[in-house]
Amino acid sequence: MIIVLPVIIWLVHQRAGNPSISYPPYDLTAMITPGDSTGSITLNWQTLSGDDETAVSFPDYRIYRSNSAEGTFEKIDSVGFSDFRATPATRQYRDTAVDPGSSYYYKISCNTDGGLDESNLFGPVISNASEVIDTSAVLADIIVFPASQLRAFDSPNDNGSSITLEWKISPNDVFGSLMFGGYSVYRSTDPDGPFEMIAETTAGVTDNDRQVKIMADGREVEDGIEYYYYVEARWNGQTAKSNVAGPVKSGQQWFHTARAVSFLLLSILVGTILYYISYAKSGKELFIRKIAGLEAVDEAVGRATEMGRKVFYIPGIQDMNNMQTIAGLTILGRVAKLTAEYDTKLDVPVSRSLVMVAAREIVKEAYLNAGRPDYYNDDMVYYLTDDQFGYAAGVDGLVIRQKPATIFYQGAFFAESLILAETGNSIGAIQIAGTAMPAQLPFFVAACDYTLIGEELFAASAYLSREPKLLGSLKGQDIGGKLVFLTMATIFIVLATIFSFTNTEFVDTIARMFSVH
Amino acid sequence: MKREIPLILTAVVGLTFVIQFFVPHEPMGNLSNTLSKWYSIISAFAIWLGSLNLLKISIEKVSKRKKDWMFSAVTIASFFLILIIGLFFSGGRQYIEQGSGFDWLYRNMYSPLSATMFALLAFFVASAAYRAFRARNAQATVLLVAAFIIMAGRTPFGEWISNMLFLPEGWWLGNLTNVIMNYFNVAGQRAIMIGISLGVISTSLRIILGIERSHLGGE
Repeated sequence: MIIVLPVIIWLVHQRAGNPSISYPPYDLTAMITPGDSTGSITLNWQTLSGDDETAVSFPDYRIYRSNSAEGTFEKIDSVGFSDFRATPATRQYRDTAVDPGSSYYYKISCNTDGGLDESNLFGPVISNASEVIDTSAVLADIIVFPASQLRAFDSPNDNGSSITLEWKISPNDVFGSLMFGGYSVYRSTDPDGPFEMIAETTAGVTDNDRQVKIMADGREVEDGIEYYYYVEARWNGQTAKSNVAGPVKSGQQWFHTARAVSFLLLSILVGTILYYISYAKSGKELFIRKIAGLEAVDEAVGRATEMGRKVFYIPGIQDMNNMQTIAGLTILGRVAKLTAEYDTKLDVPVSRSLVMVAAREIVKEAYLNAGRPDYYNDDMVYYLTDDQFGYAAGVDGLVIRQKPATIFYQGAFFAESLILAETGNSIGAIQIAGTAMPAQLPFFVAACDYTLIGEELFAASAYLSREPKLLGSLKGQDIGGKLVFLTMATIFIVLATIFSFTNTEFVDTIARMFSVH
Repeated sequence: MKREIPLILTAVVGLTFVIQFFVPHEPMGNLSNTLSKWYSIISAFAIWLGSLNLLKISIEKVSKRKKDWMFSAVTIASFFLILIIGLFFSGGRQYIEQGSGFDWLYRNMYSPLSATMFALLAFFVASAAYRAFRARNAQATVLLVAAFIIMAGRTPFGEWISNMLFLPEGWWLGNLTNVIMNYFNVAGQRAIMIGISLGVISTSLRIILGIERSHLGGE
């Protein structure tokens, strides 16, 4: 299974969307100059490294043109270092020597220190001059290029009414540009329009890895209706329209494909736990390692009994929707049963009302089960405050004044953990802590006699009850979780380490596979 | 039935949450949000339970002059002071805005008290560190050495002593600190996190299946 599983996970893993195509370092694009009735063509490309506003010189960019992709390219002009820049990171060139109706292919080259740098080939661009030439038209020196490769698709893994748009940003959309005003997104149910503006977004990419801008349209999108989109780039008072993408329909999905790996791993874990629960029910012995903190519960309550002092139980500062609080309360049941049997006073100050209600039920039931319902009263579990440090101050005050012999801290704790535990330590109480907050564990380890570290907190209920079904779940968790997952993790770590020297894309894919969506 | 109904409710809601994590289609899609809102509403009402319980116990202590009743008197006075000022003398719904009576109490009483408690942490860290970093055995000595490197490596003293000892750059205390924090510490923390995640899943499954009943007051 350990060998087959990584292969299955690999096959299950899917990557949403395709990367946009760009051609660094130049990423040359060209289009008919908007508003120019002579049919001129404007080229745009990214400046090469070293060609920036701080440089003192840079070799010329040579512009080549041909009528076919395989034809002979002729140099038509060059752009020098001191020529006008379109933006800090791009340059433009306008080819006015064009024949109307002809198609052209372009490329650029430049001799840099590293040798000859050639651009991508761009074309065909067909010059389309108007029948009536307007020679009085004033053309902008720099034109705005549109967003390109716009694609629209149903937003994956959702409950419908959402379409995702993805485009390669305009070449004028350079980092920090004050002139670029962002994008306007237009939508229609007909490819010929009319299109309605539905949103405006800021400049820049949203996905750095794929160098694309992504936007979800959730504005009154109806499932099953075909939509068409285009995006308009705004720059210095000019606008440029992208291609029209569509038709696209939104819909709901029945399975979250990005969570397929999680589903697979969860199924294995749950399956193993269920198997070991049924295994334990059959009466077979299961070995569970000793947990010192839980072995000491009897001793700690016994000590309080001998000293004639109280037992304090602090169930953390989180509410009932936190699994640590629930785990903490399961231990409270066992502690309360012991205090009932030993006739020891129990105090449970809490910081959440719902926890107070739940804790009362648990303590009451424990006293009933111990055959001492008359020893129970509601005031054993009481509310202090929801406020973190208010609660810490309240508990500290109680601890200093009442000097309990034993203090349990079981649940979710934050910065108040050490304030509480050190105060308990200062009065000489025996302290047993348990939390799944990794940042608080060192504090508890330093200040308490015993600490349940992470998973031990969740194992406590099963460990203390020794009930076969609960112990079976612990065993299943150990086998299904630790053995299978950690072996698999080791395989992927080794693969990622090996491939980090040769194929970093493979390493990225592994990281994406295991990222939680 | 007192036991069965909560068990059935827990199983149904628990399974629903698991399913909605993998099924975005309606009616599952928005279920998580809806249930979270239900929880918020229940919690909001439950605040009264806690507040009334606090008042009941405090008033009882004061009226019966139980031990340390003065603290309860302060609690009652503070409770009503902030409640009355917040409700009647802070401009209604604008109670949270700057300059209101409630805001004054918050800034001048609550915040300093809260900050004081937080500040105590510094002293508690010092006393806990003093105990924890005593070199009683080999493991404690390793802890002590690691703690020294990290504490020194994060201060100018670490750089100064590294220069004084002519340590090669890779062995500077600042760099050793980064190695300890980025590798040993992260590895340990991740191991704990994996264990915690497995524990949470296992506990959740036990509760959903009704095997774990301690939180309902049962065995």
